[in-house]
Amino acid sequence: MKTNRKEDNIILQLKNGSSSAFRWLVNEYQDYVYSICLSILKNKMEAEEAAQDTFLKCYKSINKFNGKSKFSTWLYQIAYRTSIDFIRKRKHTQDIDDFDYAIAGTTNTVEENLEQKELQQQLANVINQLGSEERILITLFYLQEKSVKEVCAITNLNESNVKVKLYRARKKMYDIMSQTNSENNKF
Amino acid sequence: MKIGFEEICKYIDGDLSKDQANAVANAIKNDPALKEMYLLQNQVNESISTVLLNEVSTNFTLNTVKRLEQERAKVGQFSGVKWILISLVSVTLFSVLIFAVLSAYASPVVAESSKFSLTLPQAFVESISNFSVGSWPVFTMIPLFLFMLVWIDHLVVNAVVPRRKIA
Repeated sequence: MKTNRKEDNIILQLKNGSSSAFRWLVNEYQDYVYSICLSILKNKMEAEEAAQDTFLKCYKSINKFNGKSKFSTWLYQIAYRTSIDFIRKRKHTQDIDDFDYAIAGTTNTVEENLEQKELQQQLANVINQLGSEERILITLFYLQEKSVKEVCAITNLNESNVKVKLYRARKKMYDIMSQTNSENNKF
Repeated sequence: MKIGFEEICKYIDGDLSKDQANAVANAIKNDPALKEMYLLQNQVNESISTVLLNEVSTNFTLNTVKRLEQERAKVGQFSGVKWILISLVSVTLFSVLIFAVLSAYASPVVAESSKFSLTLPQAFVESISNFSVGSWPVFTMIPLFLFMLVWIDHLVVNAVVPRRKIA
């Protein structure tokens, strides 16, 4: 079992249909699940709906969670699949692309220096330039420091495939950032 | 060992052996370009999660819990409809089967009154009128038959009505 003790207890309560355990689960993981959905869907409203669906699916199928993986990995797998289903449904209607990454106001602290802010803004711009698959892999890899194996479990891609794609995405990010830096240094 | 961006990433991620990690560390110390690459990638690793993590709207938890309660209520209504369907299908199936058996095996008239007449299979009537220890297979068949009927019925209803059960 790769879950912590509190999580084990919550999972047990969820299996018994506890609403308060469900509330705890939503509070604990909502930003992560939403961020994954957002990285795939790039639309705030759709991402919130997908995140809600994820939690409901998790509640309905909690008995299927066998503890072989981390609980978060299992939950993010549901979020990933739910978002992919949303994209499939969307293809029958229209493509939506209305979200751009930016520095969230609440994450900035007083101590945070200008350099860090600049770096974060730069990173937001770089992430916006990534392709959808690269963005998803980067999100899964960095959001909660998931290992490549966990990313594989969530996306159902094989390990070498994930490694290659992640490397390319990181390289692309690095290239864009170093290019921007060198352009800034010219002035 | 050629050291480039990939090796720097592996070094940061801790994916290298001790010897390889030492080689990368030395290269970073001695090569300013590699050092710059390492520092930038390290900064990216430290700051990226703050960019990737987005906050949900303020009512998200409340709305999600509400949706769960709504789904639970739906399931309550749904199970009522489901059981009515099961009962209806059971009664219909049972009637059809009884009718089929009676049509095939009934003897002319078994019970008759001034208001109605009833026909039953000869074997069944005989087993009742001449009840003995030897007639037990007929009586054993009745509950078995009923059990099978309910089971088939359950399968039919589950196949027709989509499953939306909530734990």
